[in-house]
Amino acid sequence: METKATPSAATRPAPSAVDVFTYDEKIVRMFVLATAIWGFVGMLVGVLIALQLPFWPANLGEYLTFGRLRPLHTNAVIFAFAGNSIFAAIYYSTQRLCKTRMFSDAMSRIHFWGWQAIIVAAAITLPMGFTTSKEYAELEWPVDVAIAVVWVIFAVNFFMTLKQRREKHMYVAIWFYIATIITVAVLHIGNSLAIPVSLFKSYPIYAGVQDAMVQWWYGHNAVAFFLTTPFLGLMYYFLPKAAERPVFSYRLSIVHFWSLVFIYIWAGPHHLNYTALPEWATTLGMTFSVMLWMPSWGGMINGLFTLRGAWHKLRDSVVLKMFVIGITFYGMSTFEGPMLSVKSVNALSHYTDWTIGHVHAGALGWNGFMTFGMIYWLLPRLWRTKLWSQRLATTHFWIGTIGMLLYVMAMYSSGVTQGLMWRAFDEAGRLLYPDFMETVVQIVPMYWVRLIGGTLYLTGVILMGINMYQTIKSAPKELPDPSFAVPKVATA
Amino acid sequence: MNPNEAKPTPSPEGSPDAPMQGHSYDGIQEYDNPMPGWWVWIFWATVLFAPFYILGVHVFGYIDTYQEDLAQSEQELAEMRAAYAEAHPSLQIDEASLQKYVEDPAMAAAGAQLFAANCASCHGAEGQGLIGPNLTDKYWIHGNTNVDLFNVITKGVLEKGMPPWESVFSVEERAQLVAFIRSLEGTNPPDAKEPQGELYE
Ligand code: HEC
Ligand code: HEM
Ligand code: HEM
Repeated sequence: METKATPSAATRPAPSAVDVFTYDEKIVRMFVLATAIWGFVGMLVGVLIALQLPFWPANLGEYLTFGRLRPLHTNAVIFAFAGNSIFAAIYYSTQRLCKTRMFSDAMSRIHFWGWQAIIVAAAITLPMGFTTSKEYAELEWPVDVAIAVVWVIFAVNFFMTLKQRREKHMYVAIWFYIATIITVAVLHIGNSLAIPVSLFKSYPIYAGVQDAMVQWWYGHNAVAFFLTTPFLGLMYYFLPKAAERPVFSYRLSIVHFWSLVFIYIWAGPHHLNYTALPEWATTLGMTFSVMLWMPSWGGMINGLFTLRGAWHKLRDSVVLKMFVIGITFYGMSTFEGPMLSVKSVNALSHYTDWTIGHVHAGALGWNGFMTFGMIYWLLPRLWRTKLWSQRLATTHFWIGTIGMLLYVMAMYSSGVTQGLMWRAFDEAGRLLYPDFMETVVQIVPMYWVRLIGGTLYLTGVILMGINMYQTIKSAPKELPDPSFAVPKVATA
Repeated sequence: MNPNEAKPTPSPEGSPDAPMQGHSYDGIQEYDNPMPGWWVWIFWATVLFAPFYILGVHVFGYIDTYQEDLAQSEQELAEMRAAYAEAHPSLQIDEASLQKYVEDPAMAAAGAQLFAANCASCHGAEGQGLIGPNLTDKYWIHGNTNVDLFNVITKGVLEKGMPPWESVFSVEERAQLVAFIRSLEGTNPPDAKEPQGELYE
């Protein structure tokens, strides 16, 4: 269990000089529950669309077809699953790293319920077919406005919390949170600028290739500042906590932080290689993506090297196991990403399932496993009881790992197959597979393998749900916020 | 500082690192290990790669642009096609040689298969016309000689939605398609599309 910050009797200062405060743990519990619930929903939809591709009769009616459900999947897993997960991480760790309660409980609640309402709005409007058709920014303008408002409330709450902190310096996790909160606001607002023509229809203020450029500046940095930086912050807090080891290198964390946030912003055009975008822009995107390799690996190194001397702990700790796989997959996908951005590689991979494989190596491996690790670490602490079943958690770990491997292997193989078939010529100089259907038929077996992998991964999530339910059932009725006392210091 | 952590844990690599003074956040401490050398070097290498690459593509030209790449591939393809054509002299296209195909039922049958798989989606299973025009009547937009048909199939009418098939079907296969279309004339399938183009008697 966590060491309570209450100083021992010997060092206890005179009562008047003591500052007593509590942490808001209820809000963290709410975000953790929301993470698990939306994770299940989002991945269930993922499994359904994975079935719809090889088995068309699974497209049901107008509302439950692949085209309508795919954006529901991506929005649910990114903004609902990963989103609630990083909020849980931020609310839990920021309070502790700043030795203060969140600035405003009311703002925390508005953030929580506002965000859930936005997700529900997405889950209703997307199947109905309301979409801006910009990937990861499909939601129509009323929802976009709501996102901006809720995000700003979150930001104010967060920065005011930093302002009232009792810790002089800000730990690296906080830097990553700051980068996340500022940049997501800028990206979301910048990309969603649109002129409404009715309640459910708007047109972007950008046109043609400029619209594409802005969209992928946003899209790429959504990956960077929604799926990467907050998870690095999460890692920097929960990994040394779980491993009970100091972080490997402060210096490395400074350098990789600044290089990462500076370089990421420029890399968006690698999503538009071989399109109408002028070539100089894609050249820029490609070179910045290549430069992004080491800044990304800086995070991986700091994660894995923090475990030096603690590797034996992996045997008994499902949390550390999850983190190690998560960080490893992060390393893998951030090597793969720069490689895919190289134009000649992209010529093969673009528009194929290779991209889907890359996405899910990052999403299932990094975002998924870091989230699961955090949840298993938080459960006994937030609910002040023991994890119901360590065995079940370990089973989740293995089943998830196998599922994920099946998923990405299937997509790599189908992606490369597609890419090679599309460009194959016979000796007469004619396309070997002029009929697109031939290339589809060829990869259908891989779709089935992906479905199996995805189902295994989802099963792991269900096991986690059972474990959570049972653990929470055994929790004490009253869960008062933990209270702390520190010597009074003049705060900023 | 947390007194439990005061005793430095020597790292396996033997660096004397004690966690940094004053860096303890909620019990999390930090070492100040140097950045791994390979990490720094690869980072610099990727940074240097950027101007090398940018100048290469956009200033000095020692790396091909998209357009150059494309032109080169097209040339390779053209050479490949020319070499193949030389090695496999194919049918000389004129009215008479195509007529031989038209008169050979085996050729029309082969064409029927190609048609069902590639053309029926636009011209209807029986050539009655859907998106594309009716091919069973006496009206033609692009002429009604064998060579006219062959040319439309070869080059397509992209702006109207008829794809070019030159790079998909061999000359022989295109001749088979002509043979099949010719065999449709006057079949009067149900639900035929209204006539388009000029009447040829
Ligand atoms: C994507 C739809 C589409 C497909 C597939 C298609 N066509 Fe067409 N085709 C058209 C359209 C549209 C036109 C009319 C062009 C115009 O208006 O100039 C056309 C015109 C033609 C004509 C000329 C008709 C005339 O009246 O002059 C011929 C012959 C023809 N197609 C043959 C074929 C054959 C053979 C195939 C298969 C190998 C094929 N088409 C596949 C859409 C299609
Ligand atoms: C059970 C687990 C999952 C399954 C079965 C699954 C399945 C799928 C499928 C079938 C697609 C569509 C692929 C295509 O269009 O060909 C997809 C796309 C996507 N999924 Fe998942 N998914 C799962 C989990 C996740 C998670 C956890 C995340 C993110 C945190 C995620 C993020 C995405 C993204 C971003 C895309 C769009 C990719 C692109 O457009 O290139 N998925 N998923
Ligand atoms: C150094 C880091 C990375 C780089 C340079 C990078 C680069 C790329 C490239 C080149 C593509 C393919 C674009 C295309 O051909 O369409 C891509 C797609 C994608 N990547 Fe990454 N990637 C990185 C890390 C990650 C990580 C860690 C994740 C997830 C957590 C991720 C998520 C995605 C997603 C969701 C897409 C699909 C976008 C779409 O819908 O088309 N990437 N990335």
